[in-house]
Amino acid sequence: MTVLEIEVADCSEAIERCHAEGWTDGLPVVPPTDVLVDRYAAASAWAPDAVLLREPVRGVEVTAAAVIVNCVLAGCLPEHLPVVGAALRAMDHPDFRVHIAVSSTGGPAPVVIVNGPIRETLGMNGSGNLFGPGNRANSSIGRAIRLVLRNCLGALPGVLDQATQGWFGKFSACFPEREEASPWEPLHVRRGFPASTSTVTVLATESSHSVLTRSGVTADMILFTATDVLRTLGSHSDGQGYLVFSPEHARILADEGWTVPAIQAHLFDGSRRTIADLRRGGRLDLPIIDGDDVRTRPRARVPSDILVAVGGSDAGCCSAWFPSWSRGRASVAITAPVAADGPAVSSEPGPADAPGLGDDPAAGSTQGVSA
Amino acid sequence: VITLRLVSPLAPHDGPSPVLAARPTSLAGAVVGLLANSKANSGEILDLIAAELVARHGVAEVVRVMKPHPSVPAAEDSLRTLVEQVDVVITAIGDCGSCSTCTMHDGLALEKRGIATAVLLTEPFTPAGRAIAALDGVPEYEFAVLPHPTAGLAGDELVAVAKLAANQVESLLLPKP
Repeated sequence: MTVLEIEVADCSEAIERCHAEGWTDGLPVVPPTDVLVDRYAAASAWAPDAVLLREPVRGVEVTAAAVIVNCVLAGCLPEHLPVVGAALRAMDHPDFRVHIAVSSTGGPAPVVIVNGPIRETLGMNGSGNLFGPGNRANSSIGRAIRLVLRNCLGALPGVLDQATQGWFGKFSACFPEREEASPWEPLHVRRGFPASTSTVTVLATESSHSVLTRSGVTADMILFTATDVLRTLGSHSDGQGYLVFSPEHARILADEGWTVPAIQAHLFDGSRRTIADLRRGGRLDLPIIDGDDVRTRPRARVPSDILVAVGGSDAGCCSAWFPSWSRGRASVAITAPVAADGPAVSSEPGPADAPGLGDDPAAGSTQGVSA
Repeated sequence: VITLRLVSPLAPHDGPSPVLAARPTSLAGAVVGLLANSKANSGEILDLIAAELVARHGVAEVVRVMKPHPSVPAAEDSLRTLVEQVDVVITAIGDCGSCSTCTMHDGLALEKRGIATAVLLTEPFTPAGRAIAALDGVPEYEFAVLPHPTAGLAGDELVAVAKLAANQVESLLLPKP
């Protein structure tokens, strides 16, 4: 790694130098001195030249040594490194298609959900304001991932990050599932991991859409509102999404007998839009042809594409839908164990059999369409 | 005053610089490959450019290849078909973040295999194209820049843009005067 020797009067001058070098997200960073970087490297289990993330279009391989510097910049503690590494390994999976997620005009953020015992070890916050600021581990792990994308994949706004608007999750988007407040199996267990295994799941998404009801509602009311949110034309596609239920919503649903597969099946069917609407709204190509007012397409490929998790404080009927951003199925959720020796798990069916990526005309195909 | 040694967070990138393909002295009698990325109007604009080159230079034959996904690099068999069958390639259209960079990547992949290639991007994606060329070790690699957007154009408007593109393609594929 290149070392820059600087003479400064105090720490603030070192921070200013990091801004001037173009290494930051616009907020102050921890200056990555060789002393700090060496300390983090010694605490990590990684060989310095281990490759954690490859991006074939840029022809870039991101090594552990570079990731460690960005973790220091982001304000991570050394014990956060395995979670950052796991998220990067997940994004390295070919089905994540990191190039598209990082470069797209649609401007998604890689949103990381942490499951398993490491949530508690790191003191992560899955309760009130879990998507917002205030927790060291949530904030700095998510920020480290963004700084890796910026500094190692050249994701500079207007250059190799071509987001037309982007969203605030691109600063940092990492939170744990509040498994203890969930009436259901946690996300990583439904994706094939033991409950005792710590994992990260990464999906590139838009900002969250609110599923807000008043208190004292019924399961039917929650699902009616959630269905309407999933049907929204502006982010309708055959991609995936995270549906994060607040504990109160989850309790109401479970008390009335709703399981996760039943919720997924219900929303999958309810999220259908007519092909005519998708064409009118510019989601699919015109012209509208005979039958388009009858044929429909759900907002997913299969019901399990609606990835359910639980998070938030005890009180409040606010849930959130984080839809994948692309017009097609450019990228899917990948789950990776935090321990470095386990393989990452993709979603089935993944992008390999996707009919549409971005503006692919095949997005108008009849896959997933029902009369 | 204190002295600090800051470690750069940038990923070192020191691959060998590729050599760009030699340019043919003329397009007369040449076989031109058209690598469309399946974005709207990508195939249409390439056909119009090819027609211009046939009329202006006596291009002999056109080989068309369509990528199934605009934001995924061209498949190995697509590249091989082009390398085996054509003299030069034109590829279009980079008009979004992930497809402009992939279009540049495809162009450079063909250059590395000895095929002079003209890449077409729309204007807003010029910085993305330059960044990919620089990462690939050839910051001097030039490409055609078209007004954005090209996706909704039809009829005379599309023909006019194709003529503009053909002028740039000529200078990208033929030796500098």
